[in-house]
Amino acid sequence: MSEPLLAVSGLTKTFRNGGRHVLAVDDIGFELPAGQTLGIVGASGSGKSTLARLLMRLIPADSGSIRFHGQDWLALSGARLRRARADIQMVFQDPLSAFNPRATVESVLNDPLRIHEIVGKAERPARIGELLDKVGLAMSLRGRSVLALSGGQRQRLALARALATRPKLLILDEAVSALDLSIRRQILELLVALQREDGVSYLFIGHDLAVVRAIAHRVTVMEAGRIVESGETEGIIARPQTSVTKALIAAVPQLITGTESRPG
Amino acid sequence: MSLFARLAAAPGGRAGLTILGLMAFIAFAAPALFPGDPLRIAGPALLPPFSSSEFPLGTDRLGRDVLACLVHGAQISLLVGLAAAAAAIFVGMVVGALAGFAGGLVEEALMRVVETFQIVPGFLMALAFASVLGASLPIIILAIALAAWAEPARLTRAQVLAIREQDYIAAARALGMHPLEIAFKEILPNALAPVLALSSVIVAGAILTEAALSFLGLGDPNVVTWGSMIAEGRNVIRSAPFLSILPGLALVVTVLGVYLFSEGLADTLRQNGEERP
Repeated sequence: MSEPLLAVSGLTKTFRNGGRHVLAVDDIGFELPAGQTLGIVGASGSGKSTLARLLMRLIPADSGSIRFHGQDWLALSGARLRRARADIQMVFQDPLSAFNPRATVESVLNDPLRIHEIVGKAERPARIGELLDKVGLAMSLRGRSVLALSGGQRQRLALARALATRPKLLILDEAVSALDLSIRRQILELLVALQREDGVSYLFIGHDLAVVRAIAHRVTVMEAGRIVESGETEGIIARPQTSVTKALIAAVPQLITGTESRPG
Repeated sequence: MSLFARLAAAPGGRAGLTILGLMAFIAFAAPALFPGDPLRIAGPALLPPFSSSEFPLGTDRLGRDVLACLVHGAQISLLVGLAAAAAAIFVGMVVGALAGFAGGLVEEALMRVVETFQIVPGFLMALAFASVLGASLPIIILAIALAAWAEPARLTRAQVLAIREQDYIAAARALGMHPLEIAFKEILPNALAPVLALSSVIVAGAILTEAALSFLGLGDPNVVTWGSMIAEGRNVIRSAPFLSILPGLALVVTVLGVYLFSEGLADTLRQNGEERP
């Protein structure tokens, strides 16, 4: 098997809170092959979002290594890091605070195209139209303020923004948790379809195993900054080895009857 | 609806706009309405108001036209108020933004300076400054600005610090946006709106400070101001109280107008943040 798209090992991050040290991410390691989805589940406070921010290089890691697309991801800095950021994008948990309140739909999508010179200036309006179409947003929304969008529309816009740079890896941090069930279903189907078409890899972070099951090939369970269990999604759900995983399964009634699983 | 239209739709904002508009018109038209030096002797001394058609608001101890003085005084009050507030807010925003972006030692040093200015009573500082450097309009403006820049500096810094932690800044970084672009395009425009809402309160304070300085005889002696008119009227306050009351009223109305305007502006900006079409 060739080198995985993303290989993380020994990743550690400690936050200092007053005099107290909090180990938010403790010696985490995993691999994600290209075109696949890895689910990361755990209760709130288990270090999932910190992990996402470490992978995005939004906060510095204390130790550990991240190999992404054949390069040492933690060694990049300055302009080279900014350029490389096109390859890893993220959809944030809160669709409200993820946009500049002064932005319009058009300007949100224009930024990534402009910064990474994805297409020439003249072709940007057309590309913005394609992106909107891809995530199922109406063209008539282009000139709208992001504040005038509904939660579901915002999350679609966040997805379109993340896809604009044509990333190889998309980190979805509780990306559907704030949405109601029907919109959640639509977004998940959209993600699966996009992966089939473009071969994007997903790191899907969530607390709801039913949702993670609908999209992830493999799943990793975290607790207090550590990985407690990982494996094939169906295997983990059918034969949970730890009390943490059992509790997460017990929290989702439909998993016991097994109605939802990854389509396609 | 535009910001201006919304401001005009709120009762407080409309009253503020009307008063300020009127004052600005009077100030601009002063040289045309009452040509010549308002401080020249124009008629008999201590003429009471509404007794002569030539001097509708009467004359003072030296026979100067009170209405002409009031109108020319509006010019100075608004000029000093606006210039001092503009200077205070500009300096405050620059220092506050620097502190917020730089962090570390630079932030510590800048904020200690800000606090030093903040703990000295503003009026005393302006008073000391004007009495040491002498009374002229630019010095007065500088003195008032010096006493007022600490608050916008603190607010700007707090805004920058709060906005830096927002997800949309993380999103901009994740997109690979240049740090300077993040500072100027993503953070500053959002940080400055509340600071600008503070500006009219500072204008009101500056107008009052200028009046108080003039009242104490530290104003520019070559121009007529409402404060100096009140001080001048004080000498004859038993026989001709109107000489102090009229400029006092002008001061009250102007400050009230500025205040109403600022409240309306702050409300409108808040609504703007909540529901934008």
